[in-house]
Amino acid sequence: MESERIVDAGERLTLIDEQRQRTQRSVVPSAALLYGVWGAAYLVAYLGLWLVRDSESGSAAFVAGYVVYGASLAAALVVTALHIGRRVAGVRGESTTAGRRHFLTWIAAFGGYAALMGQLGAADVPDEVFRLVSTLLPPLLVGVIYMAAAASEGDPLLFRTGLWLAIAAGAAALADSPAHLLVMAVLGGGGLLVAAAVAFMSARRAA
Amino acid sequence: MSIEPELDPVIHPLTRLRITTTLAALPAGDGLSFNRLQELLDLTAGNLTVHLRKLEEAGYIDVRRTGGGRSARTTARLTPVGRKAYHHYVEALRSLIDEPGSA
Repeated sequence: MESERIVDAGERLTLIDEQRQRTQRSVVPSAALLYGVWGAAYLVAYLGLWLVRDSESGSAAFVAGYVVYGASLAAALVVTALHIGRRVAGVRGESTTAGRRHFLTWIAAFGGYAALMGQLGAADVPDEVFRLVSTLLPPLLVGVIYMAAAASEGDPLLFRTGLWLAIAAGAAALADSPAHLLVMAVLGGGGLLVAAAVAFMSARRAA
Repeated sequence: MSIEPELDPVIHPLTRLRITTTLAALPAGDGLSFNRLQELLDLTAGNLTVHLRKLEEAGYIDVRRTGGGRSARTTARLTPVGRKAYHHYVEALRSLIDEPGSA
């Protein structure tokens, strides 16, 4: 009868583990997916601009490069919003409040970025300055926001990824333009893809 | 020998064990909507309601209803007492397995 009791307890622990994993898979956004999507977007976006680096400002190729840049980042944004929205649907409480504050942080950062770019465009600054600021300020903002969020959430991978993005943006700024685009594609996109692989392996180990 | 006498009878039925496990998998202070709980547990609305009521009566979960009519939203979350009871339950299960001579 002792063995029956043990099997019963063991089965219950297995059931608990399965239900816990099912819940986490359903309500926690996949870090691997999000890093992966943004890594691919950075790679395509910056390579797109790199490929049209010699085009004249305003030419069809130049515009196409910026369209690819904007479209890949916009696509990543849509995937992120849909994924997080689906995962956290129905979750209410302190995480909802934290999520709302995260969202406002992104809005404030990129609202300010859009306003700054608008002013720089109107001020007719040299193309090279506009290209540097417009392409390097976003990864710098993302890196800093990642680091701040990671500090409060205790997420070492997020912190390291944010630090890496900030360093990549700094390194790209030091590179000659338009080499900074290639630096961001490789270091920024590559760094995010490495983070995706690390998050994937970590999730597999935890499963 | 049954394991039931040593374990919390409120959590022990499998459905309530799965409900508390689901809610305990969320960060403290978070809850889940009735619909999401139903989806994660594959339970009928009636069955889920019955078990949530038992857990609520024991003070293990806090059920909040907001709005009214068709748009009413129900959210269930573990109370601190419920979270503690759940962890005690899991520890009790582990200790049963770890008992000398039980391997």
